[in-house]
Amino acid sequence: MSFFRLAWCNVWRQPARSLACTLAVGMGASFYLIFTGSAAAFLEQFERMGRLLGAELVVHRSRATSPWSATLTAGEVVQLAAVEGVRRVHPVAIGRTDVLGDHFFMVFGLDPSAAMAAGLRQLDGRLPPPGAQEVAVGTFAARRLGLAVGGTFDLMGRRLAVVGVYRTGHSLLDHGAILPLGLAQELFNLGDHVSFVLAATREGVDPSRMAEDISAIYSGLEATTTDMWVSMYGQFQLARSFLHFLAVLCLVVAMVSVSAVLQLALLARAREYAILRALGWRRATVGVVIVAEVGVFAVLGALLAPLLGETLLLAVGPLRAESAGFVAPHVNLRLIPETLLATVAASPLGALLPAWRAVRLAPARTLRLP
Amino acid sequence: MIPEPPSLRRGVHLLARGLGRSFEGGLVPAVRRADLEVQPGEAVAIMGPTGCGKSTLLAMLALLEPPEVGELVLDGVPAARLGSGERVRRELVGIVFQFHYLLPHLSAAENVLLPLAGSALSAQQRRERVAELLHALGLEHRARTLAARLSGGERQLVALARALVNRPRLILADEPTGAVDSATGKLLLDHLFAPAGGGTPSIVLVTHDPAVAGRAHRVLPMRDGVLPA
Ligand SMILES: Nc1ncnc2c1ncn2[C@@H]1O[C@H](COP(=O)(O)OP(=O)(O)OP(=O)(O)O)[C@@H](O)[C@H]1O
Ligand SMILES: [Mg+2]
Repeated sequence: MSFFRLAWCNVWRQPARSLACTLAVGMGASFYLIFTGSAAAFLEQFERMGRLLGAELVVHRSRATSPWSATLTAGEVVQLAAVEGVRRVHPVAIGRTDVLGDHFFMVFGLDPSAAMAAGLRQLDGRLPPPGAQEVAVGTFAARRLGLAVGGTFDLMGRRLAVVGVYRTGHSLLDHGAILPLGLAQELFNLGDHVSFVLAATREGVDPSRMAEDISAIYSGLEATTTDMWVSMYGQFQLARSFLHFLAVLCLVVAMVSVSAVLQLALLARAREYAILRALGWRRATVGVVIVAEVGVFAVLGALLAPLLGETLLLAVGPLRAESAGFVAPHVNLRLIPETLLATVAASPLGALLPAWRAVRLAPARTLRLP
Repeated sequence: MIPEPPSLRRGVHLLARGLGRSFEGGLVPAVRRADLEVQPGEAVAIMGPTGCGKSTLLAMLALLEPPEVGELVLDGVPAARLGSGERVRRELVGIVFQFHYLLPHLSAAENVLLPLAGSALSAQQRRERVAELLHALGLEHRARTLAARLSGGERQLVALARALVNRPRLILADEPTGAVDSATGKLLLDHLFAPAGGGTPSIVLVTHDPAVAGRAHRVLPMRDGVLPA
């Protein structure tokens, strides 16, 4: 009779109670999945934007806290373009504004190259050329706002001709709009400043070496490869940490409720633990039985998490559409192993108190209880 | 402690001197003074009226209840120096409780397996031991039955099998035949005094039944918490 077999029996003897525990863990794990998934998805948006523009490097003001703090000057953009090894630069100005209830409508000011137009997954019409009073909108924004090529879009008090509807496959762009760089700078009062510069390197140039060189030569600038992009921004780190904190908190709350349920069960099982001790079981072994039982809830709950998460998101569907452009909550299947690991790692938390109380029982006295 | 080969496992020498234990802050003197010596392989029966402290004495002999006064010595080693009570019970002692104390949601065989958790035996050896005991007690057809579904007599037999499975050198039995019919009682005692698997354990048996006590080598009377030497 191994401790695990005993734990397994304990799981099955009160199916309703075990189901409640599994669901509690499952809920916690599904929140974990959603929060970490959203954090990852949000950060991925930026990486993918760099790739979309064919850029290997991102350059911004050192210690900038977010990509929408526009602090690079036109002079610096010219200097960067002249750096040996740099093939092309894309200065980008990002702004955020309210559009009909979407508080995070992102406006991307950039002068599109042919390469970029070709990189779009789908383009109806064209992208606005430099200097034009025109706009291209993402497909989700177009659908939500009822826009189409040939129509007009009133953005920040300016009436702009819609010349294109595009789809890139990442939600920040597809829920926002692309303007010529100069127009975006004007609308957001940026003067000649841009938010950051995406740079494509020449053949044979090592991007990470180049990033180090740029950071070393221009003391006020910081360069990094696009895949490391968001790790530079303090605000993003903070947002990510916060989401991860919430994710872990959900697991902790789930485990605390499991702990409460098991402590109730302890009242009924005290005699059994006393019997095991009387038969010569070590305190530790008795404790491990309880840890293993919570471990079973953890594994089952974590496996249930994707399903529960999808159901949850379905239930809050309307809310999801509201925030879709900014953070897209979703169940990321790639995070399931991590979720399983985190849930199992959190499970001793649910077992700690009941196990501690179980091993502290005095066997002889407990056996005398009616 | 080096365990002897199973076939040679003989009883322990047990010496209890002036054991005493009270409850409720001394208001309930369960055992006032118990003096007891059991030779290796000897079976001793303790008889006495209800509430005279027999079960409390057995709990002290099983290191389940620490004595307040007195000394317990097993094979010449003071119990205090034998390590944890769990280890002594695991390696040395088999207990048949006054009530069967089986785990109701486990099968008969699983209940018998419990004391072997953490033993050096292989899974195969454990299963064989359990099967051997259940067979000897005529319970092989009940091996997979949940303890909760066994009859009272079957439960008591399974409880005996559980007490014997680790080949104890000291058996402590508290009214093992209290709740069974006479045929089952006889079967139970036969196996208690001559356990399957061999060996000659020392036995301390508590009973109200003079016929049961008569099968022991010695019968000791206990009264008002006193077991005289
Ligand atoms: N943990 C305890 N707390 C309080 N009182 C106890 C405790 N254990 C035993 N007692 C008391 O000690 C006395 C002896 O109890 P014990 O169970 O040893 O008697 P016994 O001889 O085994 O009786 P019986 O023949 O009915 O089984 C009783 O009065 C009992 O109420
Ligand atoms: Mg008793």
